[in-house]
Amino acid sequence: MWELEGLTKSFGAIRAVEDFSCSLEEGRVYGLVGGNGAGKSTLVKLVTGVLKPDKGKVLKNGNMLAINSPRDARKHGIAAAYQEFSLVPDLPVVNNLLLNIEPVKFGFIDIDKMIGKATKFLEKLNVNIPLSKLVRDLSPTEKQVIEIAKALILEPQLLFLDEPTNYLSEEQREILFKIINEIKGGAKTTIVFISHRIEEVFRISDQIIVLRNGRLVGIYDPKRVSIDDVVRAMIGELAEEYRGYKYVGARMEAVLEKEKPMLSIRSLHIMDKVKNVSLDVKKGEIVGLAGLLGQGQSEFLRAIYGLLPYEGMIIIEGKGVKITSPRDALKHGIVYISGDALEGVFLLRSVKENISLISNLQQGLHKFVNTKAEKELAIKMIRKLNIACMNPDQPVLHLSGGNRQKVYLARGLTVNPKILLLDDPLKGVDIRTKREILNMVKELAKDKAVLFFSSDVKELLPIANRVLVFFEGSIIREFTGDQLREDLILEASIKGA
Amino acid sequence: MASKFSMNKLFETIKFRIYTRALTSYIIFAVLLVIGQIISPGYLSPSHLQSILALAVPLGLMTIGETMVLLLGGNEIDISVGDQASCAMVLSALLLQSHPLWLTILIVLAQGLGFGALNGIGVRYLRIPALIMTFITGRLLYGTSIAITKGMVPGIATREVIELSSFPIATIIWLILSAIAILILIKTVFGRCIYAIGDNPVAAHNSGAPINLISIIVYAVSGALGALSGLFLLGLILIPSRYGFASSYSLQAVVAAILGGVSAGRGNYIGAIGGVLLLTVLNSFFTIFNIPEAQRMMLYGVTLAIILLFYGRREKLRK
Amino acid sequence: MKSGKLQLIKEYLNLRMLLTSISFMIGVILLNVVVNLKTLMYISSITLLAVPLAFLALAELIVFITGEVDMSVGAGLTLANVIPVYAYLYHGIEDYRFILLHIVVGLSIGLVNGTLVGLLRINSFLATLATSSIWAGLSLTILNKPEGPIPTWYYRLFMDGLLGIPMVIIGMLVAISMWMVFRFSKTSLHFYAAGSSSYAAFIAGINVNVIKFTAFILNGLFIGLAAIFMTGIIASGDPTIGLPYTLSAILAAIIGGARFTGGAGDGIATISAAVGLTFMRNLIFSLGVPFYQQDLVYSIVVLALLAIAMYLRGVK
Repeated sequence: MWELEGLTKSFGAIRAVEDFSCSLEEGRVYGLVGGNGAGKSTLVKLVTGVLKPDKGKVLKNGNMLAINSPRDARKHGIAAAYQEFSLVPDLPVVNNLLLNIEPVKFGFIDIDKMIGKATKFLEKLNVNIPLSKLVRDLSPTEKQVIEIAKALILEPQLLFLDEPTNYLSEEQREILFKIINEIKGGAKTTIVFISHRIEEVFRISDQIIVLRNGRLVGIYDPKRVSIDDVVRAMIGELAEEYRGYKYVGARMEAVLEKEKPMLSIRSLHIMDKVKNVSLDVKKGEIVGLAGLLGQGQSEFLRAIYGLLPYEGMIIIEGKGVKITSPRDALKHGIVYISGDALEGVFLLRSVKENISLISNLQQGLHKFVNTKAEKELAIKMIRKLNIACMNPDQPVLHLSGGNRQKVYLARGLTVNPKILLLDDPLKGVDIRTKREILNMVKELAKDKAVLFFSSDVKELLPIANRVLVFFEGSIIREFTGDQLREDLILEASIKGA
Repeated sequence: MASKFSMNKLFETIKFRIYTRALTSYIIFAVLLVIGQIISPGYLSPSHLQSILALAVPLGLMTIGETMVLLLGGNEIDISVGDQASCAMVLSALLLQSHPLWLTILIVLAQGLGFGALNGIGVRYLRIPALIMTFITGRLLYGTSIAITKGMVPGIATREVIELSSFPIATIIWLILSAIAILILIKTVFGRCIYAIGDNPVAAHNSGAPINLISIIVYAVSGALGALSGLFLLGLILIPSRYGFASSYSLQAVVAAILGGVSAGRGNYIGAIGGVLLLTVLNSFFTIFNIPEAQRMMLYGVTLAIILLFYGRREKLRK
Repeated sequence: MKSGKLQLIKEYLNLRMLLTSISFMIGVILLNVVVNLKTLMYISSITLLAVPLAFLALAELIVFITGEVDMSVGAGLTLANVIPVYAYLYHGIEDYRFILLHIVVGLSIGLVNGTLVGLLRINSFLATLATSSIWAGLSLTILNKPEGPIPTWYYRLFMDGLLGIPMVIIGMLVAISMWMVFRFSKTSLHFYAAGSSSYAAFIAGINVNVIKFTAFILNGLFIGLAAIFMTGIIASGDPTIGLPYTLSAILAAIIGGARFTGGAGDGIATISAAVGLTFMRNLIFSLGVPFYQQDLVYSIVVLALLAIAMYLRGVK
């Protein structure tokens, strides 16, 4: 019997997990669900010793466990298969499976025993991957299989599976479910199963735990509630608030219909993250991208900006272009702002320097910086975006998160881009700043094509002409007009249909 | 657990104080001057101070280049500056036997730019870590100096060079070059890019900065300055006593820059000058007390190790 | 099942890397013989010269595997050579303690480096750059010029061999077997894990900092072994002997499959690369390159080989 009490974890100003408590009985499967930023992966890492909780305890059969590292967690019988995999690329499969539990004979690796144990185990799982193959040479599916096997081979008492089916085939999923049922009944393992595929969770779980914004919303019995009930719990009362929300905007002008698209994407393919995505964005249009995190939205935008290799076509103002680096993208008038301010902001430099970097670069490396013009530009941007700083010479380090994002945005806007790519830029920004930035974007979009991905649909609604929902690398639905409702979009995001 | 916690707190506090490193190094320099007067009366006499200012020039020039490289951050460093100087010393001693000074200077600069650019290419295009690449270039320069002089003493400094390397000409040249360097760093787009890259290379790349090009230029300039400093060393030492004479200056340039508050994306040559002056005075003490090269090397190693304790440490794995 | 075991052992022996490195070694030796047939007579003494480099390269390799670097191997070798000889010449230590001192110095060097990089988590490039200055300076302080001789029995050992077996063979055997012991130990797997993905190693419960510390201790041990052979070869204590070795050791490890980012490298390939490099030096000499150009030519070769290795690595 496991008890999690009051687990809390913050990253700076962001509360990832807040006062989470619940009991987990042995021999049962708990499905853990939640939308973007709900805190699922963080919760797992708190229990497995990877992250240090700010507060909270983990108890096993009434005794508090001291978990100060993954090693401690292992000792107490806790294991996990992580979403981003925890495999060593340069070691063979067998050594990844038995990492830190290698059988030893007289100080040497007992190769026979090692191969024996691994082979027997993989056979049981019906897995056919050569033991001596290096993990770096495995396909994502194979890696996922080994990641899961690695956790199972420890014969844990508490097992976390974070998105274990993402790369598995139908057949392999069935085998996984069979195994889960086996260890649940036989060894009485407690299993926590995280998946964005709600039907799966319903199928396999005895109880469903719903997280929202890092807090526990409720624990549901899949036999008594419907999928919609759980989805509603994940989304929250917003559904009520926004039920009457109507899309109000001045945008569906006939003018837009006539225009040729500014940006066209055809059959974009990015490794296994984005599959055959095509879309058009017209000048003056704001196209919102929605969906659960990690469904390919970021990769899609980053590829257009030259940060990721891609296959497919990018057409700007009718001309096909190949973009291989941010420099290329900038040359074509594309600006990209990501949600990770750390990717875009120079903390030690002043606000005005940050804002004017790209435009300075465009002048030429050998040029002297026109400090007067720079300052004026900075002041203009500071006013426009309402950046809270004492003066333009202040280092960005001193600014709050939201204002740093504004500086990041300001820089992109100074070069008057034709195409603006926004990759969840308002994550972690306070509400007032969000509203300011959204208004700003709305205004600026008049002569630009804007692609705006947000993990919070509320941000898209006030300004998007239409919203495209991503699911597992493809666009599954488009919402326009009075269909632009948060509850509908969230439902589609979660259900994948 | 408690002692570990306070250790980190201690480091953080001292690290914060190090932000005023630049000023501190000037203060220590001043203090050392006073100590110098005490241990060796006449230390503060105008003629001696002038010679200190001339003596500081080679290290000063090398540190300009090193500053720019260290500002780039990451693992960028140039430990070939000392070897650039050694090779240039030997090369110019040879050339001056039969060629005018201006030509010698040009050739020396070519040496510096060439090997410097090689550093940049190795680091950026071959992905060889800077420390190792510049180490290799250092060895190449060492080998080159032996090869071009065929293992024999190349010659002695000419009167022109000696004049060039003494006060006030040398110091003035140093000041001019320093001013140019500082101007470039603060006022040009190129300089801004250097700070940007050191501050946040990902953001710099995302903003379209040509990181490879800038790096190569920086290493080339560092090489040129290192080579140029060799000329001044020749004027001061008169005759290169052995190959690789100035090798140990590389580490000194790094220490001088760090003492002057230079680190990735932060700091300026103004601070580094303080470090240069400090080390020059320290070196003169070593000479006064007859401390051999060997022990100086040790001291610099220990100093660097101590500095590294305060910054230059890996992140913890558990957050 | 049997084929599984064979496949795995082949993986552990890193046959691909091994092939490249051994071809390199054989190629260089052949070139030597082609240029100067007399080389055949000297093969064993040239190979003896390669033994210290082989140990140094292994020292470097072990550190590379965990994702760190050691810029002080050459200076460490010097110190581990100078101190025992000093102890003999000035303090009369000439029995088994003489040879033991090499190891003790090596391990102490490893302890210092390991503490700085492993426990205090200092960047290994800069930390070992600093310590290399310290070892080099210390060596020169202890002996400011090459001094000899070494104890007679030691000298005899390298002339006549141990129980009739020439030291070159002993050296190679020790190096190869030590690597094998390491490679088939549990610890080596943790070393590779720590270098390949410290995150994954951390999640598996491996203490990455302790691993890096241990790597430097082993590194120190190999430096000590290198010094044992170096002392025998030069029959003296030379405070400037080790300096050019650092670069060669690094290159040998890279040819042996190591990556600057960690997680890779094979010992046998490294040893053969060390032999190859030593014969390369000899080749330069045999080709009649004048003495004042030898350093330069060798450095150019080093850079060229490194560039090729990095390029090939990128293509793969």
